[in-house]
Amino acid sequence: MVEQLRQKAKELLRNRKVELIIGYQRSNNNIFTTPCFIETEDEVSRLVWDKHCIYNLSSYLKEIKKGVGIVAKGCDVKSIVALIQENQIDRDQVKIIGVECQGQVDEKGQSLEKCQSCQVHIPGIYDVLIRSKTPLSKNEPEESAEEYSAVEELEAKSTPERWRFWQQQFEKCIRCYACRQICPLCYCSECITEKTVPQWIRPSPSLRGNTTWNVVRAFHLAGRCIDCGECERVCPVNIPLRKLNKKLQKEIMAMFNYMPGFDSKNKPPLTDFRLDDPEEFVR
Amino acid sequence: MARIGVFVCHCGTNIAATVDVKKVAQAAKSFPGVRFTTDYRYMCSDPGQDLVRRMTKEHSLTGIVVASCSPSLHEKTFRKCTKDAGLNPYFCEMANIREQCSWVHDDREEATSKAIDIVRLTAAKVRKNKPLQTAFIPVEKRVLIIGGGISGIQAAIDIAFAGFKTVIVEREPSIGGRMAMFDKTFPTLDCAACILTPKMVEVSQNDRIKLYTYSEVETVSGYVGNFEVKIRRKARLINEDKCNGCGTCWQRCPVRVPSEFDMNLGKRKAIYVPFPQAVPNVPVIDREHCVYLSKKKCGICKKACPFEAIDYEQEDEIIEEKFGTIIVATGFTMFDHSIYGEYGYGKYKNVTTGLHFERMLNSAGPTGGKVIRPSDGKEAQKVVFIQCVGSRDEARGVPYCSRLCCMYTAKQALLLKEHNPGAEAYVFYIDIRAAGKNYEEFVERVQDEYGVTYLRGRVSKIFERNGRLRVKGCDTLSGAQIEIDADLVVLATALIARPDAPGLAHMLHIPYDQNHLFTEAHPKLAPVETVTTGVFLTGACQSPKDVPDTVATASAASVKACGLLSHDKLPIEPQIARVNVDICSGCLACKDVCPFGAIEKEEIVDRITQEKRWVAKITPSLCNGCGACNTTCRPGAIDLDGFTEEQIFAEVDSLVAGKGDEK
Amino acid sequence: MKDSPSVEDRDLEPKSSEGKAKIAAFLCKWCSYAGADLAGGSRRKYPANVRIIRTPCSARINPLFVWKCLEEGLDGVLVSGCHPGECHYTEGNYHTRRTFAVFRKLLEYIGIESERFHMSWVSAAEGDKWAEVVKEVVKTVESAGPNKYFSKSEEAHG
Repeated sequence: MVEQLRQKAKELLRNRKVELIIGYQRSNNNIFTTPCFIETEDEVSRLVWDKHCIYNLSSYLKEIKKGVGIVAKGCDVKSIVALIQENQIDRDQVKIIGVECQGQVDEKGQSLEKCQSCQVHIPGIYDVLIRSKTPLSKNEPEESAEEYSAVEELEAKSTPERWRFWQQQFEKCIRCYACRQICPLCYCSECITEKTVPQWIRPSPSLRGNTTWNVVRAFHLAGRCIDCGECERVCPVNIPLRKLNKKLQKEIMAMFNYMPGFDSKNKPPLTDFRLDDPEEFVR
Repeated sequence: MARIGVFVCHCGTNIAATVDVKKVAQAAKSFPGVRFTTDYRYMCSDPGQDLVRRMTKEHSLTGIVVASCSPSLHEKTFRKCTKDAGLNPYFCEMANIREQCSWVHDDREEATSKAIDIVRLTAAKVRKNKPLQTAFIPVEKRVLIIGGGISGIQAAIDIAFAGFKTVIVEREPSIGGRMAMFDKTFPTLDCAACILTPKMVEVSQNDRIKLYTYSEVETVSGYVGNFEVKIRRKARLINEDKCNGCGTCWQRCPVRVPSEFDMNLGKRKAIYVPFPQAVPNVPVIDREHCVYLSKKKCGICKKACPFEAIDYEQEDEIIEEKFGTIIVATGFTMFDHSIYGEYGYGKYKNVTTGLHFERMLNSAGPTGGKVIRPSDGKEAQKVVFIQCVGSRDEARGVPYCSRLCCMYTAKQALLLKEHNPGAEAYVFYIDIRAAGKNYEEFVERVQDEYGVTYLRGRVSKIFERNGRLRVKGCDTLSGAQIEIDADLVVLATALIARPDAPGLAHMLHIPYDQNHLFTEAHPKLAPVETVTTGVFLTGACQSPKDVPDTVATASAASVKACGLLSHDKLPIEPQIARVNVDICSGCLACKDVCPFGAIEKEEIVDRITQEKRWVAKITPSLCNGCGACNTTCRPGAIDLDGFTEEQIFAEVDSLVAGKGDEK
Repeated sequence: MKDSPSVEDRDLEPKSSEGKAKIAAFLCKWCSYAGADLAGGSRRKYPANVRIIRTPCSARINPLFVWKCLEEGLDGVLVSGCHPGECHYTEGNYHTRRTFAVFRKLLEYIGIESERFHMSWVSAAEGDKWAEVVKEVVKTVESAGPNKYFSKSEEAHG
């Protein structure tokens, strides 16, 4: 697959379809990868592809104005779709080098949790597709069972138990905002946390401020988060952010039959409405 | 630095009896920014308003809180007196301690404590108020009237008389609406055509009134004073300028099809004028049934026309016009009674409706004025009228009363007897609603002088038997079961909104209720206005009404429309939204939520990077100030003047644990 | 600053005393606020726990205001707007409906009792309904007890 990838990348650069390609290169320790940005054909040999390519590179698309190629897994492509949907990039600006992914692993070599319920081994959209020579093992996950089991476990607890759980998590938060920085959909040039007039969120870490920050971010991602899981991966204090974001993903699917990241022509659910939207909770 | 004045009103005893107003004024002294407090018996009185003006000047106040009644009553009053005192009127807010405090609580301590909270909240908001300036927009002095029935016609006549230009857009080939179908009108028994046609002619001849018939409104954009409307003039296939209405074409046309105007009881041609008094007296070709258009044969009408007015190639035309105000006069349609199995699911030929009966009664109608059985054409000797078919029926029809049916049923029974003195007429009713002028007397006459039998009860079943209709009902006043073998049954079906009413409402940004009747701005005090400035309602599209009420609302709507047009410039509410492009990242979620299409994409050059990027742009005159964009904007790039983030935040803040605020 | 009140004069209001829930209500001015006014006009009595904040449309009510109320210690929050189809701005309340359908799930999930957040449709003609809504909401909020989510000492750290 790597040879195919490098070949395609070379073609794209040679034919001037793109001026820049964002992909993965081997990192210093020779096992993991880091993002790389290549602009000439001779650099394509830096590109690699394996199960250590965990980053969602679509975060880099926001600032780039010229034609760009990007190596993207199925999950990453969903955030590209979301960025197109929200007018952050144009579809014709991006050449998506889709890669067939059989799952990624973390530093300990363990399969990532999100990969266990993945349904996009082949990306939903792409301009070029790099396929595996060996067919994908028929490893169909028990999808819905896996998908929300962590959320359901929490839902089954009592309200005070949930409060205690999340307070224990938010207590750890150091407000580094790594979650925000890595998230492809956190692209606001000035985040609500930076607003001081009025000050929605107190900047220094405190239970109150941390809870507010996480509530605000989860809500701002409602209907938009495509569950790439990067936020949870980068959190230095291991707050289970996917548990939070997936809850809203589940609710939005149930109430509005909407899943983000698949069709860039859709309106995000919180800017849309139907005449028969649920309102059993309204007096 | 804020210098706020707090004026606490006693409102006689309305507030003071429950709320300790002096305590409220005293407590307000310690609120951040408050420099002056007082209490007074009647703030809205002249001396009360004078107090505001004097204290503003004396204490150099920069903000005013009037703690009294609801802002919906006196916000304008106190903002005006704030303006008179030399301060921007938007620095004045009202604290509602009457409707939402003294009038709804009994306990003096609780009510006073709540009043103090309310005043604190309002003062906190005022500290964040900014001076807002009213902008003005120009006004196009033309009125669009959608619908050419009696209400649209009357409105046009009134507006033209007031000196303004108006355009009627009517989707049928002729104006006249439903009233043109009626025979005689209650209670005077005037011939409907006789009183309507002079008005129709007046409309056609008035220089200030332009008629677009066989046309529909396609899109409406813009705002009061500046509505941009696209009108589709459907192709009649006849050149209106050449046609003089001689009728040669339709006399020669070989095709006969059921006539919609005659409720399918009679026939018309494929090229036709819907009724003899049509305005304009120009025919239209029915594409579906015209032999030339469907099979390229015939073409007789074109050959026969002495003026070469027929043009088979004619196409729809879209015209764009600008209007200052719009009057909606789209009328109603009839409820489909085929949902009622007990009345035969619409299958029995001799079970008809009130409108069918009107056409039969009309001497220019399909039966020449004879009341017949549609099944065999024989004269009907026994007619049963059933009221409330579809009306007052929450389960299968509409919950409301259609207002007219009692009266027109009485009229129809009377006219039946006039046409055929030997005929028998029975009316099944639940109630008789005859509330208009001379209405009750009319119904009494029908019962006493014309011998129409009124039976208070419902009909449980109608079925065909031996060529007649057996009607089974009851008379609850005598307690008897009634069975009548009728020749004809006339159902007074409900008057309902047209099926495309919601579509039109969305086009005009006006609300409608669960029955798809357009909603008035206030059911008591603003029955012809809508909440969308510049769009008015008249006639049955707002709620079923008879001709006198329809004409009254038409004249009322014209006055309202002319009132707006009499200004050269209209003020627009300054409580609208603004975008801070430095924060905006161009996601345009705001554009998606704006109900008025006031937001669009705009390319700017970024102040810092000097690169081009997209941001949201709000057109102030289109913005109605709902704040949906403000809430949707995640980083807070949009703010709604008058209800800014800071203002609402300050109100929330004031409700929670007391904090020492900086000036 | 010369003009600022001294610490003793400063207005300090306790957030809520035991049994007396303090509830913020965000009302749209065309329907619910007018409905509340009508309740006043009809002299319908209801408990005094609610403090009303007026907005032009229920769509103006950012869920983060609701969160702010709960974060800062109010016992309950009510959001009320026009019935769907009757919004003065035609569509605002449809957005409110969706927004809070989602937000209330988030609140519940992080452990805020569902008794604390309420939403209602109250039209300008429904003065009676407003009074009933307030009565029910106060009763329900009080059943959840006082808001103790964040302790006061948090302020010292934050």
